[in-house]
Amino acid sequence: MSAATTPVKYAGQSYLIEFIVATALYVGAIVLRNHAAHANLSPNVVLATKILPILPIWLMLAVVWRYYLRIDEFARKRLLETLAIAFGIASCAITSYALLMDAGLPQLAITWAWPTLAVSWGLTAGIRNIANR
Amino acid sequence: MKNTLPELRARQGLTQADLADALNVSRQTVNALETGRYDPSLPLAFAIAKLFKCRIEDVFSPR
Repeated sequence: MSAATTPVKYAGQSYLIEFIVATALYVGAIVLRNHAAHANLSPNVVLATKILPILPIWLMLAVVWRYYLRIDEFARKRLLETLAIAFGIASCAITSYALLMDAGLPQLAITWAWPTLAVSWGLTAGIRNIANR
Repeated sequence: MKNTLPELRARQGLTQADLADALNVSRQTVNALETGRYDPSLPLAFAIAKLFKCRIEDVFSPR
């Protein structure tokens, strides 16, 4: 069954399963990448593990897109509003921290940008859900 | 907009979940419609009117 024809009431359940799988693949790829960096492997394998996390990142985008296709118009409106707010908060947070790094805070890799957006999205969605009860 | 969805639904003996299934929307969407927190698109408004066998203006009207 394609994402667009899945009944709306199963959208959240399907999304949760797909999101957990994509997140697990991302975490697995990061662990493998970090392990390979300290292991005695050929340069080609190390390079492959370095770029491996790119795949689950794009898979997460596909998961969110499939969720968007499954949900109804009210949920789409809320999803897009929540993403817009979360994106704004994450952009400010990331830029602020980049400036604070120049002022002496510990250096963080750019890969923290995605988890920052994810946390911002989760918090925004949670607060909006509580406010709309 | 205000609407008569709760009355129409009650008259048919439907729960919010029943109506959500019939319209292929979530129960949260039905709740948002009934409480006036969300105004539906025209296709959804037509689907609601068709389900209750009435005109859109019998369901939705300006505040």
